[in-house]
Amino acid sequence: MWKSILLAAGYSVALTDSAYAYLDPGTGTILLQGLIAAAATGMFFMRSTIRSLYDHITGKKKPEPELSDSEY
Amino acid sequence: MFEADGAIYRGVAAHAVDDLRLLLASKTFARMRARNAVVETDFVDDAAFSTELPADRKLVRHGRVPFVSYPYEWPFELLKRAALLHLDIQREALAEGMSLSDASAYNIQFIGVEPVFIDVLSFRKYRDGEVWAGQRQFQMQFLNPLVMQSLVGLTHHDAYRGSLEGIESADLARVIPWRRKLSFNVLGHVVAPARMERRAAGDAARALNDASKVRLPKKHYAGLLNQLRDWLAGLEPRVAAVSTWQDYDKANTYGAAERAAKNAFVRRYCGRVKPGLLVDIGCNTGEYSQAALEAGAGRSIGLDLDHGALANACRRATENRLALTPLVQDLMNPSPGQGWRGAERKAIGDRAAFDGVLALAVLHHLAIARNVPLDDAVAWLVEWAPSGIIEFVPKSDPTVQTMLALRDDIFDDYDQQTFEACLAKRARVVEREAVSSTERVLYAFERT
Repeated sequence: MWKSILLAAGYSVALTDSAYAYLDPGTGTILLQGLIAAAATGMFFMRSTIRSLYDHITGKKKPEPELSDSEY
Repeated sequence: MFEADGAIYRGVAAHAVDDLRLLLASKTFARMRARNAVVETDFVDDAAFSTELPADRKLVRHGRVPFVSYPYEWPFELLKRAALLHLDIQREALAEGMSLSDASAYNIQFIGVEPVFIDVLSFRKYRDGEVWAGQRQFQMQFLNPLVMQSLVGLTHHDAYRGSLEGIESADLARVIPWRRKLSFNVLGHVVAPARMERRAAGDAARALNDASKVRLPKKHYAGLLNQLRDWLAGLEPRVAAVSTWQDYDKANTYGAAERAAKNAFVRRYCGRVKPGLLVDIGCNTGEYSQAALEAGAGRSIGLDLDHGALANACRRATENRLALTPLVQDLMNPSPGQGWRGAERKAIGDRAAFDGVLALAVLHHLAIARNVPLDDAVAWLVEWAPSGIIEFVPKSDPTVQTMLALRDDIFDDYDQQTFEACLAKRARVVEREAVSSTERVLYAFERT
């Protein structure tokens, strides 16, 4: 039992060391990302589908945000 | 870390060198450099410098940002640009197999009104399935302040300066009106994170265990960034009422001829002195910073408290491609040294040596509206730079009359003679001109 606790502690320490070096990632937001990942098609995929449907119906053209657009 | 010949040099630990090489070789970095969205960064031939650099470190050279500013000083438009830059960098980096280890707003600086990413060491190789560890930080430092101003109409600067780490999602969720909570974005990016954080705190050990097991597929990671970017790009500050000073340059106590005279006075000063770094105290919409920059000033830092005016200043700087950075500052309570040992973030007066100061239509705000003794106000203005312009606004002026309308006039020594005496104690007057029918007088001074 002690071995598995130590193993688990070691694992989370290793994870903390590498990924969370300078910040507190906030457990809540990570769990939320887990939910996002779990959603089959993803809420975001659904939303973009609905959006493009809406645009199609209203005949509006909406350009995707260009990666090289310097609009700053 | 040290500074030499206008650049910054730092030693990079061995384990970070590979990630940095990866970044410097990437298309993302090349594109960012082309847009000036990231500081110039190079490895340096160690032998060129006689340093006591430990053997396992490599020397890296960075371009230097001319004036450092902090997120709690940026007007809405600038914080928004910083946020969009951060997200775009994350998206482009992710597409090329890199990720950022954090999402700190302090990793971005401004040159003029253009954001520049400065923490090149926070790039590393993307690990398949890794979570966005910086999301909470992004929310606190970029998203929430913008949302607060956009949906609630509260400016974030006081809170942000107070906390340094930004605005908590739980606090923001509490002040958003319930009707505005019904948006997909607000629910997903503010309310849900706040709820999850509370639940996680309820059973910390289990939450930590679950969190450490989360895998976020790359597609969903990208989708999350895209959606955030979409939402942010459309946020605008909520216009509660017209701010007092935002339309000052269109409707003030000056006639056209008087404005032209003031403009010319500023241009003459800048043509003569050519200040490399100018501070424009009470910059309003940046009209006179523009005149200064066009007449020979190198760069201007504008300070003002009116958010509407600052928004217009940002617009002016963008449209005219000015080297002007408008910042939120309360002159009566300027940014102090903050953070660890009060020294992590420098006080605004300590960050750079200014070559010139513009103090136009601001003296009466200090000496009358805020009760600063006239002599002290003059001393403070002259301390900013070796030379500059101070505008004296007499009591007869309509603005001062408005200030005194509901108050007792306790300012017996507030007159032009006393002002000139205060100025003479510290500086000599190079040029003087009355620029309005209300007897406002400009003084170009040189500190003695």
